[in-house]
Amino acid sequence: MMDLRERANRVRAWLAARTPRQLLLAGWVTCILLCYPGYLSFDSIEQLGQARSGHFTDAYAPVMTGVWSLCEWIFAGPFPMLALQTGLFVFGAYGVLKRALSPRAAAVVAVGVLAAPPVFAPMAVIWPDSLMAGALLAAAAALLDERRAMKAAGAVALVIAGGCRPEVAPATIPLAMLALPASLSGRLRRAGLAVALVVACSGVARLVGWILVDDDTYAWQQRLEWIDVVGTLRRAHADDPMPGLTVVDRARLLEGHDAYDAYVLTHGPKRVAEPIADDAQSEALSAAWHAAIADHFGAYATHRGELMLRQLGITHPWLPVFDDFGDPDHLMLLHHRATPSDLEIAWRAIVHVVALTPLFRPLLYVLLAIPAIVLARRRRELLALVASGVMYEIIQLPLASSVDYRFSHWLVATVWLVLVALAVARKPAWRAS
Amino acid sequence: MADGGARAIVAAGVAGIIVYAFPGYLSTDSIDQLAQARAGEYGDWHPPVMAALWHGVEIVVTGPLGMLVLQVTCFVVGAYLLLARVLAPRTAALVAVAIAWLPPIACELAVIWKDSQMAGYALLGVAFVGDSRRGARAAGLVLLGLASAMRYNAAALTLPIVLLAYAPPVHGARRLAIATVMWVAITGGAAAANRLLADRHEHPWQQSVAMMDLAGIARWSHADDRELAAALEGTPLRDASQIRERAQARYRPHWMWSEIWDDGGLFRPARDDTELDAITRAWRELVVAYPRAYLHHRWRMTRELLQVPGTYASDSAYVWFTDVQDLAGSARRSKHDAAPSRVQQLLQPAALWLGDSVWFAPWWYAVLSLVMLVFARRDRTAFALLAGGVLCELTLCFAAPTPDARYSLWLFVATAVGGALVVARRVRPA
Repeated sequence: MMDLRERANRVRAWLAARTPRQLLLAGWVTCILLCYPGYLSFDSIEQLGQARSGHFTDAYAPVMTGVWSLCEWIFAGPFPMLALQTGLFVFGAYGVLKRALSPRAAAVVAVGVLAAPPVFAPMAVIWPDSLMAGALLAAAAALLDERRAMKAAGAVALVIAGGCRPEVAPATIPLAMLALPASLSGRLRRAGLAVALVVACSGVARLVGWILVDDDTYAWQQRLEWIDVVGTLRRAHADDPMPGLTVVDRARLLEGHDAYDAYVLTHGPKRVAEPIADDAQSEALSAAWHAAIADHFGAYATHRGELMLRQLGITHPWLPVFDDFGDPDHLMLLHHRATPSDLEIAWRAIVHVVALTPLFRPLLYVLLAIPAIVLARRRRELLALVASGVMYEIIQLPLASSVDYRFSHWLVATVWLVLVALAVARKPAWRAS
Repeated sequence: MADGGARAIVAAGVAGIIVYAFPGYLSTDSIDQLAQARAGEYGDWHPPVMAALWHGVEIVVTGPLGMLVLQVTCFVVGAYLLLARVLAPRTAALVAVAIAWLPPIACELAVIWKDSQMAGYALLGVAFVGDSRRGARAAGLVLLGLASAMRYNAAALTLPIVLLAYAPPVHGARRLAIATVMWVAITGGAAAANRLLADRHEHPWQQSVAMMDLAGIARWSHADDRELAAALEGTPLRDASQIRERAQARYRPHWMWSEIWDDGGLFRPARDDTELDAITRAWRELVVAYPRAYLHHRWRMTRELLQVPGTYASDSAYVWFTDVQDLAGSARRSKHDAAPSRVQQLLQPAALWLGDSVWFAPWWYAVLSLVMLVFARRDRTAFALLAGGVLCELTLCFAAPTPDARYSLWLFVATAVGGALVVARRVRPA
């Protein structure tokens, strides 16, 4: 009979014999099982409805809705999107990390980082932010590849990422630079080419979105500009006639001293104004937004600064974990309903416990990004990742449309990937040869 | 297991069926079993071992997907391992996938049924019991035991498999003796496991087959009402008058449940032990008193079961994610629902159309099996498979409550895999 040590050695030897691809597949499947078939927020359910009906609005990233609609050819419901976003993440991360680590170490780190609760929590939900993170990592990995087809695939991934969150465009410049051959000289030339690639991909994303959208609801504009206008006016204690817009209650417009949720401002009995519905109102809202910033720049800066402090989890800690399969009544027409397995329930408990720690505070990752940039300065792929994460977080300062942990997810994911990779690479045997 | 190409083909074969069925079709029986699996309280109308297994699978993944992956993977891998004995790995993988994708097999494997579970475990079990490694043979016996636990008539398919295909490192009478002991062990073990796991006894035989047989005998015997009323005394008759006339008017061998479930049926479900005992007694008395009527009724049932030309034969494919008799209600009760993908929306009507075709008619698989038994006499595994398929079907002649294509799944499987083995041996002699 084998003793325990011999058995353990056999298990170790068996594990050591697994290829990186097998490790990635096993890790990917395990991560999917931890949240199968995928969590759905109200927005996700609405987006699934659009993907299925084929009637797209710009209220939800139309490129993502289009991708979901294509996925529904093979598997219906949230599962294919969960598989896609986690698959892009884990295989993309592996593709980048294998430049710095041995293939086995890269596979283990890629799976480990995806399973890390601060990274995993948003990846388990069908959100544009989660698909964007996966697409950006896949883009980085593909752009690093020498083959032309892979570079083209990387550009497609950049289009998908840009389609999920248009504001990510500047943050993709460091990743686009990975596509350029090392032999290409001149920093300005390299930067120019990278910017050109990003502009092209963003343009394509925008064009595809425009083609796909049936009804324009000015969603992106409303989410950003309403909170800025109302938040700025409230802080400046200044009224504005806002010509061309329907203000429901002028007294309520200046009630309170902040505004961080455009939906609350434009919907329900306590709404301040009616949502905009046509191009004229869209122009009026833009004019009001420009006027508020120009006339009360200090108040605007305070409003955005306060929003950013909340976003970083400094002033108003919030619950950063969403893990629900969706409202059964809301989902009834879509014929989707799921219950959590024991494994999922246990994993949710672990994630919720970790969520109580600073590991779920984006501020921690802003601070950790500094040493990450310093330590990764000689590894262009890792440096590009963390630079992209930091840039996306900086973009939130003027462009965040509300306070949500998922908006900082790309920073969190990149810092985790880079720091863990750097730590693992300290052991020579685990470094890339 | 195989070279890269074969492995990829097998994986694609599994994935293909999963794409067709995702996340797994559920009928009334499946929904009942899912409810039992979740509650952890098992009745014995369906195999408690399957509900317990589902309970275990639900620790990792809820709903039908886990069971679907299990049954499909076991099936395709089992078929591949068997065929790889006589064919090149790549060819074996292609043939295994082609068999799994045969409409009468794929359509049944797509539903979470005891029949599909049995087919998956049995096929992988056959592949393992003939292995030269002791561990693999033991795993094969465990899988055959699991298959035995899934259906009351599985012993008929495991008997030839264990006796002929089980390959311990001894020969002759000793091998046969060991194989017999193993078959008794797995059959007894499966029955004991089901009995031990059952929290409540639902008397499926008395509540279905026996009452249907009584209705059949009432229809085909020459007994008058007085004799029938006397014999059926104590049974849950809805009305003790005009028994023969009503039995003649309502007799439908393709759907005998109407004799129990419908208001106009001869019987209602039994409510207590006295009625159950009365059913058992009446069945014995009437079968002995009117054997020709009983056999004629079973023959009519068997004709429907085999879907011989001229019989009712329809609805052999099932393509619903919840109980088709109450889609919304069963979704609410089971807290599970799913919508078809676009590919499924294309495939489901095709499956339903094929379900009414000769593809699903067990009679010609039975004929084919009997013919191939002759050619398979030198190949133990193929012979065991084919014989198991025929034996399993024979048990249904006397035990099937009502005709249903899924009951014949093992006949389809045995004919396809056994036939492929026979042909492969002839094309490429060992």
